[in-house]
Amino acid sequence: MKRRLVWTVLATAAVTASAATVDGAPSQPPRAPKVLVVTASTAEAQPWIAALGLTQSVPVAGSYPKDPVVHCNADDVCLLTTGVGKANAAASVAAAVFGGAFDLSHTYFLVASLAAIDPAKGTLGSIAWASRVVDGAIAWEVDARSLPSGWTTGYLGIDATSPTDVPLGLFGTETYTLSPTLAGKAAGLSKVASLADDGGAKTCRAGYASGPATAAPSVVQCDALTTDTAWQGALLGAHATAWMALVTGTQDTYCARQAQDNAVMAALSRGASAGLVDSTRIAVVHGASSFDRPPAGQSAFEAVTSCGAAGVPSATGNLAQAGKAVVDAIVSDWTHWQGGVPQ
Amino acid sequence: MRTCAFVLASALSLAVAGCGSSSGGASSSAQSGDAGVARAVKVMIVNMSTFEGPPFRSALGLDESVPVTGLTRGDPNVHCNADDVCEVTTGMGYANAATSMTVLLSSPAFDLRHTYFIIAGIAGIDAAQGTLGTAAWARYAVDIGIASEIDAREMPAGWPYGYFGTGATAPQQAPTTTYGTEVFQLDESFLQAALALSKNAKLDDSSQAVATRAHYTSAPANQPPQVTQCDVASADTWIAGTALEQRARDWTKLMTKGAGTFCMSAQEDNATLEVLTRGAAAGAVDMHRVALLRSASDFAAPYPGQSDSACLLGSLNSGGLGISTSNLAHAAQPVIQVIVSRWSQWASGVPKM
Repeated sequence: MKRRLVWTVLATAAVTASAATVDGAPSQPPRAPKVLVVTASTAEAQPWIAALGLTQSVPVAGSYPKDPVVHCNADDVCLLTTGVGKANAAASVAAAVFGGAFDLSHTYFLVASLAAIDPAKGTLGSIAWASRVVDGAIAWEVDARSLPSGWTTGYLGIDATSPTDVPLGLFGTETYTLSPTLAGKAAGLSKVASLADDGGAKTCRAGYASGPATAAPSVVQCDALTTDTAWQGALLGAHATAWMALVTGTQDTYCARQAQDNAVMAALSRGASAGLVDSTRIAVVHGASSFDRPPAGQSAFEAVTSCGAAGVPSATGNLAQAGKAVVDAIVSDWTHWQGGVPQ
Repeated sequence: MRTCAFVLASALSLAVAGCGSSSGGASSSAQSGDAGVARAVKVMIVNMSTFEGPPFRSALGLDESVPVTGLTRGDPNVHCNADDVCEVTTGMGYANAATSMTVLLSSPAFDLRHTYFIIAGIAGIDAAQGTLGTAAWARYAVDIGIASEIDAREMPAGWPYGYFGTGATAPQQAPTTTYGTEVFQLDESFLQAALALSKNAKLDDSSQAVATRAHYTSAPANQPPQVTQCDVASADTWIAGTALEQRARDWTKLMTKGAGTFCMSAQEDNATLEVLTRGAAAGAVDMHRVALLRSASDFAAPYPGQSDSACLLGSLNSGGLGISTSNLAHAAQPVIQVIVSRWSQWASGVPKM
């Protein structure tokens, strides 16, 4: 019998050792989740685990050291915590996709994380479904105090000649377009969720004079930018909006900044190329835990120190609530979702 | 009969490419799985861009192609020779590096438990530490991307630059929140062995590199390249200029408690090292056998009188690109040669030098 050496043998040993908590002996076919929630931090994972009753643990070799198992329930809904940042995210998702413990070929992926939101697009606690994710960090940068005449930002594409040149996409992981059908369907389904709000979020929201920032949390659709560096302030906020438009060729779709999506998508799209993942079954959703730029009259630094985490509690809970509405729809109507997103 | 690259793919009759034999002309499939035996690799070179691999392949005769499902479309094969020296190209940036390394460690084609890894790529160099073509073995890989940033034009008064640690309130403070991938220290014994074995390696130079470096007013920037030791700062963002270079220096010191010295700015190492660290935790690789080599393709900051933007925009035309890729192979080759030719001494770990 052929055995996979290295990680697989060790993973098999781990499964055997913890068989009491695991469905499926090594000899059985890999588990086929209906839904795999991909979240970033262990704190973000908790509301999902509670809301979906993910009491089973499936060890995955090479996964995030602080949460080295995939959490599942009897309905084959599972959750993977990747760890924060691109290195953790790509490593964890690739371990799940290429590790052999799961058959993900018909799985719906809900890639869910906290994000900073553009106050012109949403507010603390809002839920935003993305149609596109764009990498903001794969770029050249000089300090913004040393810009040549005509440059409005220190960021520009690699091997570009100015910040207005369309970036070349040399790495291949710069832009991913998600299924618009699934994004729209998920956004619609999640509107039934009751979104929480709290005093801290209300206080920080009150600093803004008008627009979506001042409203109660809601479900919206707008695009996400990925960077390990948490940009703060009006100038880098304006750059985020402009960069999204420059890369996608579509104006004004940016709303959320976070640190995982393009890395998650890199691993999933490699899986899709290998036939292990269906790229039309991936949705990306964010919960707004902070604003990406301050209200008029406040400095970037004041905004970070006063309100930088004001939306974390509501956004963390709201992500799980909004996501659960989608998970429930998929699982309860699997016959219609099994072959793809129903019309 | 061949070992299929993925149990899952086999079950689903997918990923045919991962199960088939290589059609490459020089390919010999004997080691890569006819008997279901994983190839025990002595040395795995980890490159990132597609132009870093060719100098290694040609110098080491890595003529056998082993397809691995899940690697990049640009280079879907691991390249090996009969001495079990192999090379993989991960693709550029964190997402590609972490994905490809996880794919490699998940592959049944290789037994990497006793493999010496040499991570080798090009970088931007601090002129205070080296010059175009310099090859440096790193003790530390420090992430400079995981941080907060305010555009320097609207940062608080007195800050030297707009970057500051996550949760911190000033650039000089350590981050209050960490994600686990911020700092990696390479094995000191392997580092010292690699440095000793490669220090007299003959490095390439180019007339254009000579001309570029002549603008710098002091050594080592205006001297021919050498093999040295200094550390890598990693981020997807390719930073350049005086202020951001100073930030890389400061951040390297801060995150290594003063022990590290920034010299090379690059875009993958903390992602690559995170995967290897996870692999070591699973018993799949040995972190005592991992070395990190970077060679300078460009200067990270301008020479006197040059602007930050001019330095950055000219970085791919400074004359360092070609020599940096060939010098990676020149510096690594004596190390690889000794490991392979004296494997009986290296099989159980880095021998006392």
